[in-house]
Amino acid sequence: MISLDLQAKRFGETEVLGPMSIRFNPGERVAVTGPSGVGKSTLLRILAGLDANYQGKLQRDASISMVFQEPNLLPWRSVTQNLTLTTGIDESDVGKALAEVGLTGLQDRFPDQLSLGQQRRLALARAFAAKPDFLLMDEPFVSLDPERLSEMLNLTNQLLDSYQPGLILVTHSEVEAEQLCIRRLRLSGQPAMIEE
Amino acid sequence: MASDLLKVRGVVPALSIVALVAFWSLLAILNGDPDVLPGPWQVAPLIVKEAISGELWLHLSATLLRVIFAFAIAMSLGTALGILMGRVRLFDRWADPWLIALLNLPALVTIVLCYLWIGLTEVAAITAVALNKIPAVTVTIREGARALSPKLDDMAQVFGMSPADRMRHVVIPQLASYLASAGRSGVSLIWKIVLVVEFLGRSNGIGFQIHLYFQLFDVGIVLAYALSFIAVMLAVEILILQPWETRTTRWRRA
Repeated sequence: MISLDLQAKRFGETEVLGPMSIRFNPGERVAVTGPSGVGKSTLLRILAGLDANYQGKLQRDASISMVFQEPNLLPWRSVTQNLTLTTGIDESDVGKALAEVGLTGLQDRFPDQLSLGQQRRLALARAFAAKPDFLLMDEPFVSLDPERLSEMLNLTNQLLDSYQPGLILVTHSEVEAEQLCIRRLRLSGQPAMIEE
Repeated sequence: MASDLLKVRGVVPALSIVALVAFWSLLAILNGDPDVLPGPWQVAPLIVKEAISGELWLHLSATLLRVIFAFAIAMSLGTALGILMGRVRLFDRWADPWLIALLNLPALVTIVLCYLWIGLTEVAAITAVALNKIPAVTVTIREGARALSPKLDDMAQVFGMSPADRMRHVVIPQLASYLASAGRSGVSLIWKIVLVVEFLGRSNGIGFQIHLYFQLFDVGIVLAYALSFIAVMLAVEILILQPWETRTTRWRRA
């Protein structure tokens, strides 16, 4: 379970996020939507523990992993090492993790030898290989063409069904929110508040 | 045909060295006084003579050991301080004036002070050399640490990578080019300072020999010892630094 009682999040004098109380239950799939720049990614960073500079309290007794806007892979480590070093899985499990995202046979390559689409799949494989209780996704499908977007959404859905983690998806896309999530949290206003 | 030959690895550097020796020979011939500037054909036999007598290896190894110890200390402490200053702004603000002061402290002052405070010992010699190099390494590595990717930091934090793993797999690879740069300039600077240290207060090493033969106005032997150590440093560059750099940047060429 993840719960956040937020009083305020400021950048300098500007209050970006206003008071809100949110709770994410195990296995629940939630989309955080809202216009660009409203503070969706800031909220996700707080939930991920990447930003501790806020007024409020975060309670998290669940493991998390994350898919970022960019793949954020280690370019100097092989595909295999990108999985084993970050998630702690054995090399013997790498083949299965790669097969699940359609990257079979690419384990010895470096990330720069993969296309952007393949790098995103690797980032997805890494997130699921960690077997998290909650998967956090921050605009994970930006700059994908419609065909690739559809493929990635289907793939993510399959993996979510298979591993059953909770999902907190930050997106401005109604299509992504609709296809992956059941519950919606919409951020709006200045400072941003939740309209569920 | 000739242009194809130039493309073979190592040919251009070899030709460059041949050109340098030719230029030296020309200067020696034009000068005409072997006591002032002996030619390569006069220095080479001196190197062989010193090598056969064992003197060359004795002094070469003494200097090399000092270079290795001072280099290891300077790189370790300089890298640690550089990472800390690049990552922790408050520490950087406090330590920066110290760093500037140390950067501008003349090498000779550090050496003399170390000998005065610690004594004419090996510890003083190596400490003096390391202290001279640490600030330069720190500055280079600090630049690298400031350029570290915050996105990879986030990734490492979310996936709970241990501090040791983060350092080895996330931080150090990003600093590789800065480490190579600091290492390369470090080796060249350190051995020059080691020579001064030996010149001033040791009873062996290339610097000590240069001091000895300087008093005898023997330019040939001075050049023989200096060139021998330059050859050693060239070997270090070709056999250690370049292969290491190639290995750590392999992923860029993949």
